[in-house]
Amino acid sequence: MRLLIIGAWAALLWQEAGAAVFSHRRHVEQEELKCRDCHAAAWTSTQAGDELMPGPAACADCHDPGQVSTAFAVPARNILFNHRQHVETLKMSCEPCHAGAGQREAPAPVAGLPLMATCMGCHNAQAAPRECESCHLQPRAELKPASHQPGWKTGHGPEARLSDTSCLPCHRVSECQECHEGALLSELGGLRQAPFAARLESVKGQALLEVHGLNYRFLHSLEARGKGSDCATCHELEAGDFCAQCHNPGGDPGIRPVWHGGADWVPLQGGGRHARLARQDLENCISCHDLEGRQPTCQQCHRAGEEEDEE
Amino acid sequence: MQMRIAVLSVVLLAGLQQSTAAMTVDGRLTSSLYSYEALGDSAAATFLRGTQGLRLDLGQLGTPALSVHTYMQGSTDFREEADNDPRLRLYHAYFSWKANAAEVQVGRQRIRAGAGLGRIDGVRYARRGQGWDLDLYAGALPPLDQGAGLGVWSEGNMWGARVRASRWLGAQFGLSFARRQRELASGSDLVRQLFSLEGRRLVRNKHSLYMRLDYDQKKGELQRSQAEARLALAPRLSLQASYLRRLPAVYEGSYFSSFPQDAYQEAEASLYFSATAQVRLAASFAQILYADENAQRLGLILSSGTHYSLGYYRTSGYARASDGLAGNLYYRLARNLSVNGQLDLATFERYEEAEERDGLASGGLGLSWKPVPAGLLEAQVQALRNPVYSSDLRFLLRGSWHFFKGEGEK
Repeated sequence: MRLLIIGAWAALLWQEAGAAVFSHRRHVEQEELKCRDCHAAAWTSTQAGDELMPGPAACADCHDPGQVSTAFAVPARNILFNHRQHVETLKMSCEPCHAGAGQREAPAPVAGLPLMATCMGCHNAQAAPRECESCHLQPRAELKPASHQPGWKTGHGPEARLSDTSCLPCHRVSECQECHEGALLSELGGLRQAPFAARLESVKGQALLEVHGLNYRFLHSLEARGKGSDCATCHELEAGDFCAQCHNPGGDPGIRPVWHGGADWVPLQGGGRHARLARQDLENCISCHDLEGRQPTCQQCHRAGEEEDEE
Repeated sequence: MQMRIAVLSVVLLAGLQQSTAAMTVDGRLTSSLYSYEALGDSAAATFLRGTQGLRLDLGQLGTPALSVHTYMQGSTDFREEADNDPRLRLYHAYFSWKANAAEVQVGRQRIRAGAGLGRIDGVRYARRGQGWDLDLYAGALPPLDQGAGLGVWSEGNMWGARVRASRWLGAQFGLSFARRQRELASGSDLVRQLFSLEGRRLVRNKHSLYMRLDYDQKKGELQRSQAEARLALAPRLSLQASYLRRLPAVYEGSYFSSFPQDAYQEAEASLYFSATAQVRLAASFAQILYADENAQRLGLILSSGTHYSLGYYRTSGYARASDGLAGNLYYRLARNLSVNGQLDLATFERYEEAEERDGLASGGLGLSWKPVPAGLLEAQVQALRNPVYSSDLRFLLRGSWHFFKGEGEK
């Protein structure tokens, strides 16, 4: 009788408000119903998108047909989730994931869903896998937080340096290394080629459209001079090794850029244009001329100059 | 030395085998095949580069506190012979002992501790407290050939410390010191000793301020000064303004450190506008000030969720002129099948005052298929056009498999 009254009241409110009125607490605490009594489909469900809301037949066990509506809104869920594995195979109860659902006074199709932090309580690489792909179909595309605005790839430093806890739920150290140490690059180099065209092709790393664009070797000098990113953040430049692999392979003096030279490049007196450019952007010189911290080309003049100064 | 450490590691793992019933295994295998054409010794040749990556984390090695972590990659070419093939690159491989709030890591590991950035073959001690954490580390720098060989302290080393406070004066602070040294073949040493001070404050959870100062002790001057402010101007509009002044990264001991050198300065402003929950527009402009010249950088990006984006980029001035257009798309065809594409077009000046610009084009079209939650298969066709190749077609196949054994599983 009590259920009948509740059902009629609920149906009345439903018609008036145009939305489902439902109390989980009333069903769980007063009627002592179990989750499975209404959500039996969860025990056989293998996909997150399965319909787990009770149908008319389930409600009809207690409610008169027509007195209640079961048109609960079901949120779209684009994740991988196997209810059966959790409740049947792992023998988990509902409460750890749907904490407090039984005390709610309203339908809880969205609020009753576990937060990702709840999932991570078990998916911690100890009890259960922590890989994003375990639950998300395309995590890189689907899980990007609002802070990851365009430009985030080169601008995330401040946040990552001061608070790595915000990165770690999604990213592993190996992911840092994919960009910062080129783990995603397919190393194509190692071939020794002398001709100019071949040298261009002997670039060591090819970014597979992940870190740098495919034609990046043609644009990287522009980016270096335009300071679009700090090369030294990822590339070990201290010994000139990284740049020299392409710019000066095998100790070959290299190709003289067309903008080197001219009467004002190294005039008889003063440093000329090369000195001005070197002072302004020494890293640009070093990208070709640093052979483990020294350079015979520079030393031809500057060593002599130093000796003269000493005299 | 290497052999001794390898043997010691195996013995340690074997010794722990007796009590590793609860050992957890978490790993990923990634295999790639990349086909491309390039010039070989004398003529064009087709290369077929294979890469095998392994990330492996073993936990609860006899005790819940002990774990081992490694990430490595091997590669070779199946069609053409290249120098040093097959190659093995060891990104990290270390034992970790984590108890309460402290952690000790021994082995090859990545250091991210403010002024200290890079990899070492050594030891790291970390301790976390309420609102603070501490990092201490020391180790040899891995050899520059990026192989699996161990670094030697006398040939290169890095050590340092960092302390961070996250609840001091309502802000986050970091103070770090790092000393890095590498011996050159010529016998001289490159040395850098850097102090770094950083601070970040969130204001009403909407705005943020960040500053960083790096002091090079060897040069006796500020290596880097940086400030950044992010302001929420309106619910859908935010502004980021940043300023940077940096000296060239030239180490003490380098031949080039004796030359006079100027710092450059960079000022950048970026606007982010969310037209809807999905559609966003970002615009940024940067002015880079060199001693005698300036460079400019401009970027405009229109994006829809994470599925589509279209960007226009421009550089000018000392950076040389270039204009670029970049588009990306990601579209889900079915629940576990998606298509992705990229297109990049650019024109650029190969050198200053070039009479004509060179053109670049590259694109990729790929499919991602996830037949099972643990597996992912990807295929991508790539096409390039540039001053070297008028037409270059490449193929990438990549498969990745995640494996896991949790607590108590057999």
